[in-house]
Amino acid sequence: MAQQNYLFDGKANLDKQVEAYSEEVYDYFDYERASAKLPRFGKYYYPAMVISCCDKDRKYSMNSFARNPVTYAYKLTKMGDEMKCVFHLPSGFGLKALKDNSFERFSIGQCAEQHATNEMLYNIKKKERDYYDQFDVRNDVFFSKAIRPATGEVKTYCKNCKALFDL
Amino acid sequence: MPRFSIEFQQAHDIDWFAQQGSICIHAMSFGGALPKAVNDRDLNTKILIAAYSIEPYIDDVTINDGYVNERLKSQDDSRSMEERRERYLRHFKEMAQRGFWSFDRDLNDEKRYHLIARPTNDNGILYCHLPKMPRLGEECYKPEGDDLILDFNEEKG
Repeated sequence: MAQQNYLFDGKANLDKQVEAYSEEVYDYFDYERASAKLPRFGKYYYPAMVISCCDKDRKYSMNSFARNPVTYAYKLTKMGDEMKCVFHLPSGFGLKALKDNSFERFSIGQCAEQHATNEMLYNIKKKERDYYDQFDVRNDVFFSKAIRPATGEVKTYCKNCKALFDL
Repeated sequence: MPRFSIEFQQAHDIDWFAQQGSICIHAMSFGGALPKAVNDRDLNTKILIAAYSIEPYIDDVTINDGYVNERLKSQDDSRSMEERRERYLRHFKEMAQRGFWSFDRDLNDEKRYHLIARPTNDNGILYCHLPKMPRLGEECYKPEGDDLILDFNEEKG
């Protein structure tokens, strides 16, 4: 069960995975900044948070980072329906609904957790349709700790993620 | 002038730069709204790249240990305090070694920044390497110790 995320026996491995990923992200930006010739927007700033997630059978895992929500990407998987249900979004929701219905000062769909889950679901959908059909977003996904890559700090999950994944 | 959108600010940990008196400020936004005076996308990126072109040259850096320890203790993390401290300080220390007074955003209040690291002796930064930096002016003041309180209206859109 996702609400027992901290009891998940694969959590230690996920935490190691996200620690390594956080270092990779840090090093990537360090390199990009130091080797820059022509500054290009968006390339030089750390994402606020990174996360790793996996499914309950640990067949799939995904690392991802916080960034602006892309509604069509969420609509490609079960995440769109789950978001609609949890946050009472209108059908065919857009960015405005994601912002207006958020439990936080930032928009729904922006968190690393939500991007990671969506990307993992998309992979599962492509590779294992039966497994995807049975997949329960609220209960079948587990998360590492959330790390701020600029500093390695650990942050608690936000209200949107707690509601969406029953954390 | 192109600005960072509010959505971009909320999803990113933006290194921003400013000058107050003779001090060059580097600060990490951690998803908070930027002060209006520094929200210039192109200029900020130019300063960031220029700052990275300066090899860290200052050995003697002062760390705000009291705040750093308090901040890290409040977080639930199984790694050792020493390991977390080293990782936390890495970026701020490097920026201080480049001559900046380096600040981090408060965990709860997006308008409060805490000094994390600064050059012990104010050697002065290599100004010739940096584009002209924005000045915080009256938007920024120091009411207590090492804190930097920003008084600004959040950028909309």
